[in-house]
Amino acid sequence: MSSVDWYPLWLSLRVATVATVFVFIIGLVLAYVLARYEFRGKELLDAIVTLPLVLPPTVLGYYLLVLLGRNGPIGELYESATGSSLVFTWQGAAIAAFVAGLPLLTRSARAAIESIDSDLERAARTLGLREIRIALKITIPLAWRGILAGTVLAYARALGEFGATLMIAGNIPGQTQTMSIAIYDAVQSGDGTLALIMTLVLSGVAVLSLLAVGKFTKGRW
Amino acid sequence: MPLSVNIQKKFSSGAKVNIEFATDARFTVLFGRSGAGKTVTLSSIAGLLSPDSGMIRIEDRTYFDSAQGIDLRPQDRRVGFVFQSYALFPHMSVADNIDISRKEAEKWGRPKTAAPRREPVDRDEVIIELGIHDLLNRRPEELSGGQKQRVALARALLRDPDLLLLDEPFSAVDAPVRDRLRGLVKEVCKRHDIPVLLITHQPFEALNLADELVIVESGEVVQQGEPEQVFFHPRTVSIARLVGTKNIFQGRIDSIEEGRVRFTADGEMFEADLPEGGIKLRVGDELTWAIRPENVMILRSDRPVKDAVRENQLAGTIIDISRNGPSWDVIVRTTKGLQLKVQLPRHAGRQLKLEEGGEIRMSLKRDTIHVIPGS
Repeated sequence: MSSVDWYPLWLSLRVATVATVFVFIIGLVLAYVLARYEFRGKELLDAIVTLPLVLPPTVLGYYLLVLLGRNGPIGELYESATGSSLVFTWQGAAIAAFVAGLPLLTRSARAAIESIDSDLERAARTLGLREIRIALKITIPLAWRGILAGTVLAYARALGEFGATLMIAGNIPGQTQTMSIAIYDAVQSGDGTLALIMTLVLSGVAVLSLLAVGKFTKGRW
Repeated sequence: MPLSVNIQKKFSSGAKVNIEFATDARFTVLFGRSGAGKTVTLSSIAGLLSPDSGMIRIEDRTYFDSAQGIDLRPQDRRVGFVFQSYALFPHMSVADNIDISRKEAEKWGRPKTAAPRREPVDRDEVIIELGIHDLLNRRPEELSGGQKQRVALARALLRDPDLLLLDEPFSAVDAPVRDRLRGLVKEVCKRHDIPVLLITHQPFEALNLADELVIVESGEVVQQGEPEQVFFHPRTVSIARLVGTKNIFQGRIDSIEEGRVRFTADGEMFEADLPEGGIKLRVGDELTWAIRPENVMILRSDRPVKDAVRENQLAGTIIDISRNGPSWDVIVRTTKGLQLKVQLPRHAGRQLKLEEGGEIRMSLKRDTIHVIPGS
């Protein structure tokens, strides 16, 4: 039995953690805006955020390549700012994981915020609380379970991202080879034991996440 | 006038609201059916809803004026709002709920809000007056309806409001608690000298609480005045129905003289006093008349009729008696077919030996018949 290279696991954890931090911040703002404000293009914004849930990962990967590649608008900006490309880097993988995880948090948090009695926010307004204070002191604490559940789901999704990651970050061992890609690689090269070990690790993380989600949403702490 | 409201708003559903009234009463009640525009008015005063046009002023402070482009945010108005659902913050203790307004102001300031008009409401005093000192460490979910209501009131009072707005505040509370709470709310608001605007769809509540009554129907103010005046002298048939008047009938005017009107209704002749201030009635016109069930007098058959109750005598058959505890509701059909509701105390009903199918004679006193022009 070959000794297991744990780099893919650490890379996966790093990618998923970075992605989830951004998912949390940006997803929460999106969820709040979608739940509490009426504006033109709201449905379109909702559709764009949700799209990664329904698109094939390869299509998602293709879009990311177009946007983040050398000639893409975001890729060009990033390259002129940092001097390096996003394609074939772990940062690229993190962006793929971010895009895949964002709808999970946004939808869960939005539903949680929408289920709060809007009289509570109205009451807070008459009591003189500024909008930002209402969000921090009333809305987010009350929607906390839904937000946490969405975060865990997004983290699990980011950890397992495969298709889009492969297209944007490639499969460079020791650089961009995440866990799910390493499993694919191990199976392709006939290393069944390695594939099994990594599969079990990823499955374990997924089961734990789902148990955690169940706990948050049922309110048993 | 402490409060003057004049607002117009059109909703996408097609509903229109055009509410205009001014009041300087300590306790004003906005009364009407649900959907009449009461909540729209309250929300507009609090700034939770923007009218299309109009003006809202509390004493010298303008909260809304479409002509000048003034529309203060709810945060910048000084209004205490008690919601129908109480809207207590479920994740905070009672103490945190009632203190939130002042604590936030201390921490973050409130530069755009005008200073309190009165001495700041004393926290300890309010807690004692409302009897919530034992509840301070509890969560809202551990409170009864009446307790929630008192906490919500304390929270609104500690905002040091120019005006307190109460949205159907007693609808979610059991009846016995409701009666006590009504008295308490009125007393506490008076003591702290804070004017109140309350909305309700319950006639009894309106009559019981109001110093000034404003009746709203289909998005407009239809009558305003002292509650007794409005209740016993509704201006239109529909207001009469709204305030719970029973025994509303049609008739035709036969003659008008010396402050009295004679009219015929269902083949019976009646005479009624004209209301003070006068109303427009013409001989030959239709009119609507009403008498409250408790004002119908039942005459004893075994005694001669006194002069005082000689007016508008009717004979009829009892077709139904509802024995509702201390009072009885009796339905009588007169010989000519008029169906009257009569209410009398239980002891009187028993003494008169009233029974279904029994014959009785009644008198409708001239000054208890209320006449409204038109039909």
